[in-house]
Amino acid sequence: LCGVLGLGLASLGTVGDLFRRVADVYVAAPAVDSVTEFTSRFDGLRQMLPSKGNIGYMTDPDTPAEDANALAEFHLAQYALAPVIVVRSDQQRYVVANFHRQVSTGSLKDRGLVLVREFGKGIALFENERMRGSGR
Amino acid sequence: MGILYFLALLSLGMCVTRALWPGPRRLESADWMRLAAAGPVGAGVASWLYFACRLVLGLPVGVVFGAGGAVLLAAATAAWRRAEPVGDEVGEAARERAPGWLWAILGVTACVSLGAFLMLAVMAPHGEWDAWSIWNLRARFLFRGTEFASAFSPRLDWSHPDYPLLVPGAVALGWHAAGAELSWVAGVLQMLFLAAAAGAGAYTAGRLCGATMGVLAGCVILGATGMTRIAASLYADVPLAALCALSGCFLLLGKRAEGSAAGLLLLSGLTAGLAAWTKNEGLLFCVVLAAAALLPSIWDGASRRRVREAIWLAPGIGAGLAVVGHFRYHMAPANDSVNAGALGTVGARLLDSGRLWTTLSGMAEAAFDFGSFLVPMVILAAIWFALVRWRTPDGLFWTAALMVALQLAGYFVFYAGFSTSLDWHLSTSAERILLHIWPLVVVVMMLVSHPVAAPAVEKPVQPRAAAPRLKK
Repeated sequence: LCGVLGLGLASLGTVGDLFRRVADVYVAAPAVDSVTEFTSRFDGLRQMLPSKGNIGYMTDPDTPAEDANALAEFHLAQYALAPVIVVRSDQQRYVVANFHRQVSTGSLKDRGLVLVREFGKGIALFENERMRGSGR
Repeated sequence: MGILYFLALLSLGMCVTRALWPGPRRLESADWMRLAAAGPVGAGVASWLYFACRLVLGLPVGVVFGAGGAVLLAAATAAWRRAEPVGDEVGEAARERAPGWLWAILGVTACVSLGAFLMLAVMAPHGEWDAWSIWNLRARFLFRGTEFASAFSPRLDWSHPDYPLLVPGAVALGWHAAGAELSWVAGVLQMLFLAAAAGAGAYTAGRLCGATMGVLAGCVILGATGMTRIAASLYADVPLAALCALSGCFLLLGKRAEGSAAGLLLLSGLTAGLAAWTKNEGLLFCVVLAAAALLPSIWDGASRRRVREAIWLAPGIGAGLAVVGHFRYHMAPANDSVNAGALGTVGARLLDSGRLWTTLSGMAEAAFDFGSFLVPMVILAAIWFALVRWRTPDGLFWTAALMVALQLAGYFVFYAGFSTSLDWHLSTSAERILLHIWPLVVVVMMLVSHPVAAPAVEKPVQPRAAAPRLKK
């Protein structure tokens, strides 16, 4: 029975340790989780989108493509905007922008991107004039 | 409505389980196992119906609920009509009672685990990265979409659109039932699978090795805190672990049982089929299950009996493979692992000793860290085996050990032969793949350990008519 007691207590201790570590984080956790907070920025845009189709995606200029945070934000943008497919490129008729800092629309206009609507918190919808006639 | 959805899932699973593995019309101890299986089986069958009615036939979601209701009614009727006057014939040996303090440890472990799960779920209601980039994302496509081609578009290749749909389907159906994307639906589903993983292992160990070993098995399964963490992350690994555990446990119970063996084996095949509909690793488990059922005939010579057993596994596995096959052939893009190289490339990788060593050491390292036990589980297991007496391995042990060994061997071959970024793959998934077999590993541990408290010997009851009369 020593083995049973020992193994049982080791299991309990391990789960207790997990509980303690989670509780430490829990008391300091924000009221709204980061995914809900991030994806809620896309709510206004989502209302405008059709129930299928593709939309381009861009973020701050000079962000490396392999940046883990940028990749996570792209995945979250897709999570927010489903069932529309979000394509990580501005070579789509409509492009959603997820900016964290000020970007001049002039530089974007040079790439054919015209602001359609700004939704606040860094989210905006652009139309790529060069992709007109290529569908949604 | 969300709560009603889960009650319906549990009822559906319970009725299907009771229809295949009949018991008396009153509650019996085997109902703990049926209850453990009810959530996963109910969610799996509902997900199959969702896929068939909504995605394949394009019918409205109301038809899915109608079909679910019809299956529930049919299963309930079958369960009622097939009810037997006496039940619980599995493992008659397990009659001893586990000590109260061990039950207390299990109770506290389960409550603490639930508490940690709830805190994690509240902090991250959408789960972790793979949840919102794969599983919940697919559920959103299914729930929000008016057509389903987009959900499996090759443009979403980063989100693995070829992954099977048990979890996304069950979550989307729950949202349809609730009429909104309630984030707790995915969490409750994971809780059912977590409870099933622990419950199936505990019940089976209890039935085959005695109640003390069963209760201990429940503690140890939950003691691997990865189960709780990964369940709260809303990944599909704990659902897969639960279905593999259920399938393996039903196979072991079926081998031990006499009258109800066919039903238990059918359930084993059904849950393996559902495992294939949960994650690609479930396909491997289907092969492993069939091999574990058949291979012992090589040394025990009972090949006809083994083949008969394997035949009962076939309908469930076949149903699972048919659904997965239809999905793969008609909807999903090709799997990135399948595209990872031609046969020659895979062969060359498997002959690369450096790659084999990296895989072996990566998996061994994960085994050492596994479960985040205070003391590494490998050491705990070593201490356990030093303290208990070993049992002579029997057929059940070899069957269970084969399942674990073959599944691990399959993972090893996959990593070594197919992974295009081996180090990354090992570092991100090795713990999760060990979770898939963890409940079965614990059952194997209990099967090879001598029961701590010997089963109480039942006193034979003499029938009155046979009592001898003393003559003066």
